Amino acid sequence: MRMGVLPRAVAARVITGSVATVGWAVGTATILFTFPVLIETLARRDRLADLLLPLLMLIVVLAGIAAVVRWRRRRVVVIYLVVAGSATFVYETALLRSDPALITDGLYLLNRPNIALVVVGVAATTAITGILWSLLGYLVANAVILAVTISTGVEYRPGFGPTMVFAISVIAYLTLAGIQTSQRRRVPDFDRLEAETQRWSRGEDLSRHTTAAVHDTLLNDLSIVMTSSGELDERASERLLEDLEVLRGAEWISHTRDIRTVDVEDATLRNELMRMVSDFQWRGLSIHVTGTGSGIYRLSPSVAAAAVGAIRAAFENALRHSGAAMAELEVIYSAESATIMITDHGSGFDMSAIPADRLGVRGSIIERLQLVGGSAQIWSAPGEGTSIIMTLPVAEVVVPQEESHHQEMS
Amino acid sequence: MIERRHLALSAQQVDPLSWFTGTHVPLVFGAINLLYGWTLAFVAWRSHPEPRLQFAGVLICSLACVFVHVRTRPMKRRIGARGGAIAVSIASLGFVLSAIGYSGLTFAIETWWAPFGLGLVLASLAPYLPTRTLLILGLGSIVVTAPFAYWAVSDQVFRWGPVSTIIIIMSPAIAAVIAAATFSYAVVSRMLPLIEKRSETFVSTEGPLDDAAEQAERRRLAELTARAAPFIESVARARKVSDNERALAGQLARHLRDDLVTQSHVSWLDAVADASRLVVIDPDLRASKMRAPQRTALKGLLQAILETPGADSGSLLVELRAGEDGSTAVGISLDMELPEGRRIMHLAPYYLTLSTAVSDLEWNRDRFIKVSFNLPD
Repeated sequence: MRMGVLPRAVAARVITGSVATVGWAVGTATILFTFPVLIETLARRDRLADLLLPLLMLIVVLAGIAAVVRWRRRRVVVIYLVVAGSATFVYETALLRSDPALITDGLYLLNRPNIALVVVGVAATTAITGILWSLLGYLVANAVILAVTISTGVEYRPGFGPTMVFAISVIAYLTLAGIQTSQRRRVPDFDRLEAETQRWSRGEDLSRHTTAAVHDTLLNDLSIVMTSSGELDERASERLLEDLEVLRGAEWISHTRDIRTVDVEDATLRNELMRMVSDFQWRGLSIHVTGTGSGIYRLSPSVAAAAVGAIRAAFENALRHSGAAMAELEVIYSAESATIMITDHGSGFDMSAIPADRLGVRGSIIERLQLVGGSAQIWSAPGEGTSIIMTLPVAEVVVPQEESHHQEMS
Repeated sequence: MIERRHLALSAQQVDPLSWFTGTHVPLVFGAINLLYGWTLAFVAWRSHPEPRLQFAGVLICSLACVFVHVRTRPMKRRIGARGGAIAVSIASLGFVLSAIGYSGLTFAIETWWAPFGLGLVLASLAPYLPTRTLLILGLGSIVVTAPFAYWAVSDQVFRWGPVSTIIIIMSPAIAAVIAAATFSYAVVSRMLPLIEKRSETFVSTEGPLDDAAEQAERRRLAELTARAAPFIESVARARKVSDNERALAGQLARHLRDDLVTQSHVSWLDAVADASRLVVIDPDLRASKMRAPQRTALKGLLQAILETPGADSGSLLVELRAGEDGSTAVGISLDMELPEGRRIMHLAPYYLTLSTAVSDLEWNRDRFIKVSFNLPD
């Protein structure tokens, strides 16, 4: 059993993605609350005859948000920005043509759909992508305002609303990014602690085995001697000697060793990964590659080959089963290990629903890595995408990277 | 499908590690409110009969954010519904003061800072309260403040009808409630399945022992058998047992049994103690009953305490006692000179991780570190 704490990278992805969900909810609420304001305002100005077109455009924006929530793809959000931007243009033009005075005393009503453009971005998993999507929405909103000005000839001031919402989005993402950066410095390596606990548990098992062996052999042999009448027959004597051999051999303590050789061609893995990324992009899965650290590390040929095979299997799964058009590959090194994190934002799956005799993921990723001293952890749930973290032993640190602040303190 | 428990847990409860430095969120929101509110109050200074009310209202709303910050610091108990209600009440007071200040004045309600300020306080609670509590507090504050705000300013609003007026006044607060509740629900509903359904069969738990472990085990075996094995070998080869040898066999058997019992009682905590000056009191051998996540979390905290500058590691005491209900009460104490702020930030990640694996975790705030908790049976 492992601790109920997610790896920081996975937690950060969930939290940042949740901020994007907030954008969808706020966008929906903003449009919904615009309906009564629109109806009441036009009624007070005796313009109810002009209500239908702006009302329909608000419904188009709402439908667009629903599509983004349903599919959560980059392409769908781009289509949303185009469609909702066009609907916003029609909405504002129709209202200004109906009553140009709205530009002075009804700006709040006019710029509501602009806010929905700013807050509805893709399900960003990093602060920078969240900010970029908000910026794109903000630019579309301002382009719409410019187009309305040109189309109607009315000098259109966008008002505080969209700028304020954009500023809050940026501050929220930056605050989140600041927290996550601070976390990376301060949160200890619980994976290492868990590994120590597991190692100790294995040592405990071994100690129990040793205790049992000594009990079943030496302690029993001493009892035989204590209860002996003076002579030991041949069988008893042989048994005592066999027991001593069992203790001398102590085979339960021995273990096989993985002898690693260092590959002199240290660019093999990098080149192989780049070829793979290109191959999958051609087949329809965009792969975003990132990584941290300034050091240079070398993996043994067997570890590198296992890593490439496991990564390829993970991307194959994402391409075939997740429905995602994009996946991320992040590589992080330390002096002892290389951590490779692969995430997709696709359909995900229920791990517990996979039959025990299915060897796909287990054979192609987990056991492949285990054979070279690595490990793999998989997080997935229906509708929540999939994260795979692979850990591989580093054979040699060619150039070490700078120590983190946390490591310096401890 | 909305699950009830997703509404009853906060983002902080599901993943406390993500929020131990997140207490800065309320401070950021408080600063935004101060900047925005005071700018508007300053701009409208001359047109207000009582401009000080706006400055006071802004300050009170920002103080509500500071209150949330203080109540959500790492070692504090969870802020809870009561703490949230206090924060929202303080913000509502600031809102009402502002409304009183604006009553009788014509102004643009679209740019009124007070609903925005109330919204920021509600939003600052998002990581720390469950969705259900956020909705109750948020809607409660809107129900209380909206009629008052409408009564105070509606007579001076000519551009908008009554429905639009109330929507415009309260839309920042409503948006904040929706945003906070959505955020809390999204984090909990996405993170909980990942924590609960994380692979256990897929995780690689087997691995080769390292050299040190193998050597230590061989050394232990050699120590256990050092006296008895040569004796048995000599008897086996001679095939004769004298009275003296029978007596010696009895002595060796007694010693060996004692050694085996002692060895079987050595826990992982004793191993930690061997490597430091930690004192362990565990008469009921409860350490060996701890589950792996509890061991990892406690070991992490102990290591962090031992590595804390200014800590007298010789005074670190860990005591485990069995409870009548099968649980284990654990107490940790240590003499420490480090100021509380630095001590908290150093130990917070370990403390919060421990809180995911144990129950009734308590932190004492004096110059000693005193941590106590229960391990469920």
